[in-house]
Amino acid sequence: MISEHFRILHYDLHRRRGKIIHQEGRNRYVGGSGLAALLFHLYGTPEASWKEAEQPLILAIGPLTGLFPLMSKVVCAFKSPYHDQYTESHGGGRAALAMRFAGLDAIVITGKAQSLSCLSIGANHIECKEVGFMRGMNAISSGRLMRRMFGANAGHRSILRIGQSGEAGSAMACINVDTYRHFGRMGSGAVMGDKNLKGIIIHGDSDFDQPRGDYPKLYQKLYTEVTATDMMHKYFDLGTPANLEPLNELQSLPWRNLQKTTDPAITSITGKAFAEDTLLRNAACSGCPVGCIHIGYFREKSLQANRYHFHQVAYDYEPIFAAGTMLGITDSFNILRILDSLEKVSLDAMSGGVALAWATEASERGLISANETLVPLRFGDTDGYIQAAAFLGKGINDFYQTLAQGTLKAAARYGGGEFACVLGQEMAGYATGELFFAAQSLGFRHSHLDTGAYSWDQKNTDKDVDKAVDFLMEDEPDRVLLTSMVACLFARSIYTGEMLAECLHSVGLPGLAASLDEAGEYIRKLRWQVRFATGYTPDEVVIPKRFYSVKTWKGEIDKVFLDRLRKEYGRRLLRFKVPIDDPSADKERP
Amino acid sequence: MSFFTAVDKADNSPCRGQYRKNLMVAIMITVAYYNDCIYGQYLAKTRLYYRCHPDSEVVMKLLTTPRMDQCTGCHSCSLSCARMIHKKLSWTCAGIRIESSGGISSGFRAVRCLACEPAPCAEACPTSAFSQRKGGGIVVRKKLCIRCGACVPTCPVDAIYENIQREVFVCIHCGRCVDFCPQNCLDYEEIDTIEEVLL
Repeated sequence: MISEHFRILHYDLHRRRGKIIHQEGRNRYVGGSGLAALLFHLYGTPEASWKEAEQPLILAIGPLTGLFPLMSKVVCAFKSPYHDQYTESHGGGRAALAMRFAGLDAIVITGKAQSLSCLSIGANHIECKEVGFMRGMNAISSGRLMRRMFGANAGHRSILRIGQSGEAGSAMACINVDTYRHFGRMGSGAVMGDKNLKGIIIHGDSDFDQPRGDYPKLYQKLYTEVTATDMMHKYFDLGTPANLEPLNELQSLPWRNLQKTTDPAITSITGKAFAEDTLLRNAACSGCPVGCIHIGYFREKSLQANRYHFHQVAYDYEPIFAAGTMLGITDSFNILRILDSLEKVSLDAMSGGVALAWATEASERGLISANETLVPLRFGDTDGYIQAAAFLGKGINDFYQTLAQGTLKAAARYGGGEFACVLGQEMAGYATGELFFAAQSLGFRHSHLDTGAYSWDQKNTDKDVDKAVDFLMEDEPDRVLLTSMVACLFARSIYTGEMLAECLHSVGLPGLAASLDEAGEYIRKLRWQVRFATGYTPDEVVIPKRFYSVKTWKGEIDKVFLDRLRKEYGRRLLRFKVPIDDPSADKERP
Repeated sequence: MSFFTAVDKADNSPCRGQYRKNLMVAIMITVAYYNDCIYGQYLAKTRLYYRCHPDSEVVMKLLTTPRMDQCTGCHSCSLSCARMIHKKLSWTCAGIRIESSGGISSGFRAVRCLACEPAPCAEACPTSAFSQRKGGGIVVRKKLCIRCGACVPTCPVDAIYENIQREVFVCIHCGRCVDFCPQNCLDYEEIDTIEEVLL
């Protein structure tokens, strides 16, 4: 079933026709990030706007997806509405295994549907349904309706959909995956919206023969390793919110639009507090025994006495930072209320929360007023943020439409750029120090997961620019390899290069197993080449003043060190700014 | 003198009765392998299929799903069954299948054989590929299956899955999936200890 070539579905929404393509290059592009970069090179137009109908939306899995534990994620690649450059977003849920069992290594969607549509894909069917009645429907209701409309395979399918923010073209719109996971960052939801694509449902309705030989034993070994180590404990029990308290202690947790990096009020929103007060249950991505998805609940009172209903919302470290500490909210249920509001309109929680934090400070400073925000925004005021999140998602007025294109775009118009917490995109929740600020602002996805910079900051006090940037450059190929597999990065300690090679051998890919190092380097370069071709210019990335006034456990940010890091990292990345000279990638579009 | 009497006579050790039981099981395994019987193929590996009581009664075990409230929907059980029993990579070609009941928000349910006795699927099978298993459920002999699909609609709980090649998959109560549930949702229990059927 895992072959040397990729099996790809190209679907043209305008013509309502699909085509199965067999693409060579497993040993070079691997899958996931590598395959997506190749497919963008083949199907995308680097110089054209993201809004061009022919720009592709790409979903790609890896060679080990569904074959080993935690090989359970999907790379979504597209030209981003946020910066009009090539980017990736990674998501989990059931999407990865649904693609595997639909027999597809990748899905490429081009064109624009003539009316709002849902695309249903399985091993033996492709159907594009017109769903004009779903216009303006939020992401939760859209999921419910799609489950009913495409009735088969409950539990063995993945439902991707957008809410109002995707339809409105917000650069912060995410794609909701199976309710509790997302292709969150960089505006993938707007790409779907622009294509008139409300939802994608992928049915994992076929089966494959198991690889022979060592595979079953190796699976057993890895499964035991995953479930016997403290990974289960770490990510299942409290999950990533366990990091809130230590990062607050380290003075590395952004509070109130990064005006502070620590606050004693953390006690009510620690990982333990969330688990004890709000945790309803855990869920897992398909094929992952860890079960790191934490689903909390909050109760709402109806108008009548003693009438209640409840809502379920997934939480993690990052959403708690964005809808909690960044907005000065210190009640766990209220954080879930704001997240629920963001979820419904399908706004990326991190981007939305950070944007509203800027709007709050801009309001305090008198740069904007209730004329723009429509509701008063005050740090700690949950009700205001619940409404503002919906306004931002729906792009209800000129102010919110501008803010939805990015905080710096709003700041360029209304002022306040110096306190916009933007590092390439709205910041992740790590005010750990200079290297993280430099790495996120210049990184490929502008994600804290592009590099281990936030971890490096927490362990190093020296200010050796070359050593720090060496770390970033050396760290990247291994991460790229994992995102090409497409493994959950929680498993990076298990899936070492040696283990990946063993896994690939066991499923009949010895050629790839023997060339992993070369593949990692090659894909790193290819991804950057594609990004540079779409207009990336490291020198144009700015780090707002707010980041220079941050105080962490190491003391105040060293401006000179940060600027030198940024300059050196940008300089090193420029070596990838060369034309793509790959012979197989130069082929005519399949 | 019967064969077993001869064996017992030849073996004067105090545990010669046990030896006889083991021999019986070995013969069953051999016959089962010969008939390409899934039930038999895993008899030796599971070792939990039979447990000899002091009174020499064979006690059957069944797969149960008593703690599905704890299920996270990781599908590890289905994937392990498909992999180990059916040599497949699949969510569905498995004896136990995990479905969501109203999206992930409402939790998960296990679709599996509830061990009917008599089993309507065995009665419907025209080739005896499915035959009644003692204690409930069925014994599957894949070589005898003509892929007619007659068994599928007879199952009152939709526990038989038919793939596009018309191959059918149903739980054979071997219990091998139990070790692959990271949340301890599954059990493999002797029939007379099962207090309540939970899904």
